Amino acid sequence: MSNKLSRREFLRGVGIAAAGTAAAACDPLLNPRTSRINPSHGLLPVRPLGGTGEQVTLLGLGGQGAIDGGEEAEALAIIEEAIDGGINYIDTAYVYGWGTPNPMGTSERRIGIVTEHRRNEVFLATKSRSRTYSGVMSDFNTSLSRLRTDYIDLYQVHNIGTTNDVHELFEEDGFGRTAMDAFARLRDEGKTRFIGITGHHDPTQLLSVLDRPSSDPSAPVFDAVLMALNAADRHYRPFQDDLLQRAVSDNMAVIVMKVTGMNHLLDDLRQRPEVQDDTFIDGPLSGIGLMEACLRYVYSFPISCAIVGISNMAQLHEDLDIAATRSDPLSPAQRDALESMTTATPPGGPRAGDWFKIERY
Amino acid sequence: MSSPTQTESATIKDQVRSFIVSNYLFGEDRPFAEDESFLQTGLIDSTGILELVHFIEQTFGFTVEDEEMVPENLDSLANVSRYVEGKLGG
Repeated sequence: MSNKLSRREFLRGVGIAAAGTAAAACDPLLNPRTSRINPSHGLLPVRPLGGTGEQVTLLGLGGQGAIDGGEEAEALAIIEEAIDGGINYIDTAYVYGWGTPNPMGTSERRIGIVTEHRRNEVFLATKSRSRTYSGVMSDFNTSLSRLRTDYIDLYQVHNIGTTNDVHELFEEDGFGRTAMDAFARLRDEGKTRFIGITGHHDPTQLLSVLDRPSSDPSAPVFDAVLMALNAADRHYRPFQDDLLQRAVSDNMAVIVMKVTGMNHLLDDLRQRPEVQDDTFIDGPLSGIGLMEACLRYVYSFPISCAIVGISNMAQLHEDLDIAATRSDPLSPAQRDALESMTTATPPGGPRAGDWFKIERY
Repeated sequence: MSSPTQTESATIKDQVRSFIVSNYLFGEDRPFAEDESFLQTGLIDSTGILELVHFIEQTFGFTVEDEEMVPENLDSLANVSRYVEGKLGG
């Protein structure tokens, strides 16, 4: 990959970092939240992580794909290479990993092998899909053990997508405790520095959680929202409208996933007459590669970080190169062009739109 | 809750099959064996399993516990159908 950073990119990254640092210094609420991450390697642009005071790289490493599947040696090499390449944000989950030989927990375990000796280089985000107080606490302790650390940077409510998910999150157990109470307590006690919420099916369910009154009005309910976002988003239950705007106005970090929509976006775009050899050859996007277009589309929004799943080392190098050298936002005309090419309805029936909210790699 | 009838069992299997065809076979209605391993054939990977779990929870109205997310319950059409029937009948 190319480690070169254009002057423009370098200045932009420094400018954003400086602005974030200045804002943090002026805001007494942010002062206790001092960074535990060493400055990035300077290879990738960074953005403020909402109101947390942290600076994270625009490109983050997703904990599925080769990380929770495939060969152990390749997975570990990819994680090491990602950090070497400048990535300082790694996202995983309690449940990542599946079947034999990489069962549930494989992702956290492999990431822990690497970050045990590089903990201060990485902002670690993981998640629990438990919907009870004791379940969340149990998951958290297991995740700490797998990740070989004594704290998590961002602990997230995993995959709120239905009204039932919302109901369960706030449902009291026999002791009057909810799953949400567990997340808040873990943050209050400093075991996780920040808490967040994730979803990729229905933004209205995430909004309904954000609308719940906080038990502690002095603290934000959530520090971050992880949501699906890609060029097909606008056509079905868009996350980029009410939810993204709400998160930004509340100074929550916006982290995005599903940038290529389970690769469906890439597959669809390859069928377009404007595309040849994975590059646009005509129209407003002429000369831009497909993956670059997908990444720059989400980089055009006020997001902090896009986590991308990696299936092999070549993909990682491509994504690092794009983030380091070509992460300029798309122009409005380019965004419109890309959105207009993602309207084809896949043969998936009523859930068709969901295809683009999920992603394998 | 009573045990599913034979007709209800067929409906469960059909619903799961329809979900898999729509979401993992790209709508191509190719035949796949009821006991075909999703993982070994590459039909569904770890991300896909989470989507299958979401579908099951949303469609059949119960929570799939973490300890239930094992191949014996989820790694083939037959396994999923048996697991869902057991949960609904339990």
